[in-house]
Amino acid sequence: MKAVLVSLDGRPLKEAIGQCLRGAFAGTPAGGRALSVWLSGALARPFLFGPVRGLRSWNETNEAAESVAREAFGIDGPWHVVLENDPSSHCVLGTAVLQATIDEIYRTATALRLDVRSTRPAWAEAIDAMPAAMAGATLLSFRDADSLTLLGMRRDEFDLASTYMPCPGADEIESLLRRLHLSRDLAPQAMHNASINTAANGAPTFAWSALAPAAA
Amino acid sequence: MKPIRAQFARRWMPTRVWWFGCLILIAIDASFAGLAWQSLQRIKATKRELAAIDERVQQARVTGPRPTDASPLPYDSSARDMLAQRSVPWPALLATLEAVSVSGVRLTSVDYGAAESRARVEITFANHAAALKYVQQLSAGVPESGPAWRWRPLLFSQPRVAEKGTATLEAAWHVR
Repeated sequence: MKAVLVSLDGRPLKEAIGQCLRGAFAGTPAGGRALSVWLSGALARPFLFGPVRGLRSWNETNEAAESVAREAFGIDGPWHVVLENDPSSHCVLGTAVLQATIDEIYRTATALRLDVRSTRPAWAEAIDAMPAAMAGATLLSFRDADSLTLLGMRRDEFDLASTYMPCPGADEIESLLRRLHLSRDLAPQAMHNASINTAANGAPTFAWSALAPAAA
Repeated sequence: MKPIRAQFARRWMPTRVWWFGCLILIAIDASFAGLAWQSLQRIKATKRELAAIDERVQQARVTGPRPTDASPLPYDSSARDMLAQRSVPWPALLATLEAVSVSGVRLTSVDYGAAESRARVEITFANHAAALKYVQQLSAGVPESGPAWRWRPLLFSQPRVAEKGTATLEAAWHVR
């Protein structure tokens, strides 16, 4: 199954999705083409939610999480929110994608006769693809064309989830990471940087790096 | 770092082909339902007709003419004649007439009427004693089973000198 990175890269949403999906299958015959869509940090944004007590159902939980996402990202559209865990007892990581983004992806895929099997954040795919040597990392910075996403964990729970749009410059990122490193008192091997690139065949690939020892 | 399970893929979306197939199935279902409805209406109409026929038949049974009031069928008299003929014990009767022989008595004619269940014979006789003996012998020859008959003299004429007398005997029978 082919993976396609969808990022805005300064383009309107509809144009960006259309170009990304068309470019992924350019030159291949139509019909029966399955793909996995990876959303950039600007399109799939992480946030922290909870703990919230008194929620009686998953519908209520989703509505509460959506309202938090709406307030956190400042966009009043309907959001599709996925929470990683039950937020009644502790803070959980949530991911929010504008419903319009999902609708546009499927509309374009239907028009191009593409079979969308998976739609996930690119930074979630980066965590899945993290090399075994980096498995103990507790802070991840993920950089794509649109944004910089930071995810941090403490005591096996996410405690940091933020997205910087547009993506800051290299100096700013380095300063940010150093501050985080100091404030969280991390060992050098606990922090890793990932950036996503597109290979010559159109497939997205990850580039991994640890925090530079000199900087640490 | 813990894996993230966020997934925004839609599980399934009906395609145009799917909707088209659904429409075809719905159309087929609707046509079958229409046919079934028409059949049901026909069955109901047939039931109503049968009920009406049944009601007419019942009404005719109640108000119609009784079998006793029916006019006799054209073959009724012929059938009755045939049954009367069949009920006459001709073989036994004729066998008796052939078997009985009395000196001085001669059988001159045999006449019968099946409808009246009677037979008449005429005899000539030389004297009364022979005639009475002849009647007794005829009556003695009644078989034990089947219809029985009884001979009785209807008319006697006196024999004159050098002439013979004549007598008419009648046998009436009945079914035992």
